[in-house]
Amino acid sequence: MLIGTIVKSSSHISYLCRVFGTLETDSVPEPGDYAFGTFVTLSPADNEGITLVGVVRDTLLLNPDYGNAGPRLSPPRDNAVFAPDYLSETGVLVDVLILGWIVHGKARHTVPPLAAQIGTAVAVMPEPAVIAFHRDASGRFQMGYYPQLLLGGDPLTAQLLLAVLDRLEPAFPSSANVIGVLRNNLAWKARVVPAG
Amino acid sequence: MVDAIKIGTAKGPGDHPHEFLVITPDTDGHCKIGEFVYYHVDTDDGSRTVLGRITKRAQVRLFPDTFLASPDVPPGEIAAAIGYDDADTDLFEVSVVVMGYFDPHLSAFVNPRTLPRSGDSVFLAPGEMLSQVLSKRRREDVGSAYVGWLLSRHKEEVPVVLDVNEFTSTHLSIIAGTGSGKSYLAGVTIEELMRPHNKGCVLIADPHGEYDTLDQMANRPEFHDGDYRPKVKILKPHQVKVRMCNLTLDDLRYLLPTLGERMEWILTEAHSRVQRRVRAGDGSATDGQWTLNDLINEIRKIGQERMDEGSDYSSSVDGLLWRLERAFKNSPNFDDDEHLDLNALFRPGQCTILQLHEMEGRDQQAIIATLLRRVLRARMDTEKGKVAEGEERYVPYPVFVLLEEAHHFAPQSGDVISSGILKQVLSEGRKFGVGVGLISQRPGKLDQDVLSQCMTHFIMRIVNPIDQASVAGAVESVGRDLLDELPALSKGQVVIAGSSLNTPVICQTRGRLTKHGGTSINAADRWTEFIDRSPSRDRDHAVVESRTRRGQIFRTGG
Repeated sequence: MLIGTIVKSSSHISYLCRVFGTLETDSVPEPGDYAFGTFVTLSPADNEGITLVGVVRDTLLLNPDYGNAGPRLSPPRDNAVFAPDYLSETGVLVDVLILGWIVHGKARHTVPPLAAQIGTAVAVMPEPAVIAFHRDASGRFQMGYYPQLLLGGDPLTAQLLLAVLDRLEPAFPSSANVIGVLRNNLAWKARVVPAG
Repeated sequence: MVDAIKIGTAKGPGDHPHEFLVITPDTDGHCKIGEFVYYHVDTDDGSRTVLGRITKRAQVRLFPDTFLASPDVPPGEIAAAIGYDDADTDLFEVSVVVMGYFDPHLSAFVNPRTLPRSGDSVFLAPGEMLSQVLSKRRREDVGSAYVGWLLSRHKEEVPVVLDVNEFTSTHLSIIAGTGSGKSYLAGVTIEELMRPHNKGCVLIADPHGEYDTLDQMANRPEFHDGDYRPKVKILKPHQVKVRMCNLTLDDLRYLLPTLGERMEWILTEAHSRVQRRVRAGDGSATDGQWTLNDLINEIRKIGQERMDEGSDYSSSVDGLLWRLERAFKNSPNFDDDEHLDLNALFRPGQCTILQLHEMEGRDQQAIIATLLRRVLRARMDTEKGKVAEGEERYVPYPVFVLLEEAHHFAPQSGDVISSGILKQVLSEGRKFGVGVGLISQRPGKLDQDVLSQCMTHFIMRIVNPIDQASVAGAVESVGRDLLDELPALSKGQVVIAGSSLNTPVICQTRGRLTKHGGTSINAADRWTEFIDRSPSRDRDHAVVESRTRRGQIFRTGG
């Protein structure tokens, strides 16, 4: 399911995706489709078979009318009739962090060589694909982007990783002990250390 | 030709001018402390292979503590899960002390004063190379003593072979905590001295009676060569004799404690008179010797002379006579006529064991002092041509004396009668071929001057910090890095340093050819064996005794 398109980037792996509005698609994504921690795929044009894999790590609301406290010639309810495009300028942006990439069906948890482009479509990654992305060649759990995320220093990162680990644990019962250690360490850093 | 094993890459200089650092993954576990490595350096004389010894090892890449949180989850598995799937996670920084390149003309290591450049390869020294340069002698050579092999290598890959001429002339110490194998190692050393390629002349002062198993040497083929069979002569405590006239005035004073001033004066005067008579040969002292009775008679005479002069010394005379008789009259070790003949004690191819275990401590010290004094004098006179063949003091070969419990004969605190002569032997013995081996489990209690005069050291496991400090202070040939290893050594592992080897090594002692006699008693087995062997009435007796104490059978008193 497509949720939007890339409209901006702040680095090679950090993109802003504008979630489709009512004028852009017949099936407008629900907030649950682009929730915090949702895995998404980006398939740039001329991508040489590469699909970027990212995760929604932040949500921003766009409202051009914010701060405009002055009088208007037409009331907001009339704008729906006379200037519907003006209303559609409000919208939702999601911050997508690229975690890895898939090439010829093989998951790589490293920085992808190619960047996404303006207008690249962003789609929700199906649950089986998410699980497959976290399974290495020998079938074990892998999460190679874990250190890269922690290095970013984003206050939401720990919570993001915790959410991902919770989501993946049922799919990797044989690696439950490893996931447990990673999650406990994160929980300590995210919950206990800041409170100390 | 074996391919050189590259163990790491030089990082740069270490803490000291003769030290450098190496970074290594050490996947094969070669980089042990004490291990030998080499690098190449260009000198004016061409490329040199410079040997060094690993002294420190530190891990530079460690798993985060949090990866170690669960004992059930290997940290490597967590690292693999987050993208680090290299099985070799370890990376070490090792410090190497430069020994130098071996100069065969000098038979010594020469420091090139050039460290490897950053990025130079460092190699593991092959066993063949080490066998050539670590030891001064080759195994089975005349004057060699094979005591074990390099601990960091496979069994017998690099034999540790001592130069017998060095440690039998410039003295040897065996320092170790109890139960770490010092008597075993001493036994190995004696075995080597008595092998056919050495045919040593050895005397062991054995205060615990644990060297008698060395008599098996006579029957073992390893010690046979043609007609040669080593002779092991064991002297039981009652067979150890010291002739009275060999005791000096200091010996007498030492063996007669708590002498008053007047007694001291009488003893000095009496001893002086009997000595003068011996020298004058007036017939009162037979064969140039004086006896206990001669000394007693002189003391009585002096008492009478003082009485004639109006001074009553009778109580002092009586006290002195009482002490003399108590010390010497019925002593099995001090005799008017018998004594240990030096030619019978010291012969090449003979190991003499003096068992001292039933003697008083002071008697042991006086006996050893007398013996050392006599043998040193005999060797001096023989070397200077003052005595001729056939005389008792003619000892025309070097001798080696091994003293167990050396701290008892030269203690750090207090002056015992054997200290002085032992120091003299240690300082002068080399010139006259009198070597001493000192064995002690308490180096902290051993006189530091004595310890520091031994030029070859066997140091085994020492845990006591005082003893460690004593060794560090007295043994200059062992580096701090090797001393730090002492508490971690296992039984049979020994640091050997000093003049008998080209460089200090950590050695695994070889197995004994004869049975080791110094094993500990298994108390529980012995108790059980006693009970099992006891007649039933004895066991019943034990039960009755027990009940009696608890008042179950007899109750006495109110």
